[in-house]
Amino acid sequence: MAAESWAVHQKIEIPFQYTAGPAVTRFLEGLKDKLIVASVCSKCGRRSVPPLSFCGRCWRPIAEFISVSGEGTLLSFTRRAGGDVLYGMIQLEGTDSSLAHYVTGEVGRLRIGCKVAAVWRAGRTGSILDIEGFREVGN
Amino acid sequence: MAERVAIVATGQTRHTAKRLDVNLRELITEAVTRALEDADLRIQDIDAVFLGNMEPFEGFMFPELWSVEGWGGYGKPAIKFNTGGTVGTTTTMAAYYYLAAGLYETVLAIGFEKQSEGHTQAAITTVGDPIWERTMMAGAVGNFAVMASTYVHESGVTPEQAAKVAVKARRNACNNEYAHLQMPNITVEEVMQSQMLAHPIRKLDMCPQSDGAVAMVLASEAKAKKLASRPAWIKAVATAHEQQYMGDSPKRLAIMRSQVTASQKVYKAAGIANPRKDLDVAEIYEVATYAEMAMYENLGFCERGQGGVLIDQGVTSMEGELPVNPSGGVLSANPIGATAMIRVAEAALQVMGKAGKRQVPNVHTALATGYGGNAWTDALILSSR
Repeated sequence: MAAESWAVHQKIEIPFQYTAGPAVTRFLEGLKDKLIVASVCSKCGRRSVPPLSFCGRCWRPIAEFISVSGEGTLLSFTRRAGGDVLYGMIQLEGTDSSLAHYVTGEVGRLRIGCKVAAVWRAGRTGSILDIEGFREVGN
Repeated sequence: MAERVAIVATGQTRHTAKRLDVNLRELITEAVTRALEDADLRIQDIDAVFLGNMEPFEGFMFPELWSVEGWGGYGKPAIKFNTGGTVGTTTTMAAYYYLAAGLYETVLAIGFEKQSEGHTQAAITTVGDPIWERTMMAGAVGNFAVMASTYVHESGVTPEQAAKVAVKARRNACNNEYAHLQMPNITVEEVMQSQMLAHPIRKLDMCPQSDGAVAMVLASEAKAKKLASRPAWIKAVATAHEQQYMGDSPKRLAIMRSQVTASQKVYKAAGIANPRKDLDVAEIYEVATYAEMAMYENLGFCERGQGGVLIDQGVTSMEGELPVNPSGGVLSANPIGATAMIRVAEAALQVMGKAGKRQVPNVHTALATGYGGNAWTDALILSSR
């Protein structure tokens, strides 16, 4: 190295908003009333949570929305680094996709394939965090 | 009919955690200079330059504009790509398409990343869907951990088998003068006792973050024969996409639909019936130990559920039937924008017989892969013929 090389330090903050779109807005509104909204494609019948407004596989708009159970199956999970928080993918009953969310339990005891149910928060605002997480309800 | 295209030269930097002695532009120049020297070419001999980078990992947009003098783009046709982890293979394939179409005779392809300058995990967090993913599971490690948990459940692979992948990678890296992590004395126990990042992934199961750049010269058939005594011919390329949201592809990692599709396409195009026998070496974009074993299955090196057995039997070691990642792989160096192109460059070195201490004997056919987002796969077959 011929000469010393300096580094200049800066920090950037980026304000940000995200448009949910009509299908996801239905879902977020439903959460206030403890409803989980799924979309149903009229051609392939795929039931999606998160809901879609357009089926990319069948290439057609989706007009049907139903509410599904807050119970489902744990497909996968991990524990966040340096904490006790667990999260994973949950397939809700009667749906063909899965939802990323927090899971209560312990690594080593919690099993993939176990049944879980949504735990609702009081004072819901239409946020994905209106569901506090999913707790194990049996194998 | 497409023109035949070959890789005729490569250049890399020594990948490392922080290159504080040079700026981004100077880092790229290092790799480009080495590739040009390897082909005995001047920058004036290059028809076009294609670059790959994963912005905004450096913390600013258009790094290629700020570094243009460093990569020889002044006055030349150039295109910058950003397809995430796959960008190095995407950029290689784009160069291939232009040369195959007969539009240029020599193309310089570059991949670069100075990861130490930005905040990689913050940048990766912006990849996650703001509603469905960012809240719980943004970031590379957590995402991989969720996928790995499914793979462990499906295949029964053990932490010890994962640790063997880590040991293979970091020991292979000792034969690669460009690798970031060279750990000659690493043991299975050390990997299994390293810090738990996100269950089941430990620190030594995961790739590092690196600063580094790679460059390759690709040429049309007539030019390639003049520039290299033994060029690495590109026999087949393929890209396959997947739905990014993990909830749309159950058992992800255990079943990587994009990797199955892309690899089957290139095998068919290159006349490869049995990849484990017909390939002489593979340089794959493995990211984490568990991913490497899952990829053995998805790339057809073994049956479903046998990824752990393959590492136990040493099939993919330097002395094995199909050595995987003689370079040390992504587990030993990960300058993201360069990483997938490093796979191609290393596969090319093997085919050209120029891989030095990490050379596998008698390589005629090599596979290189790229992997982007959580789901997207590129695959290339290189050949001596």
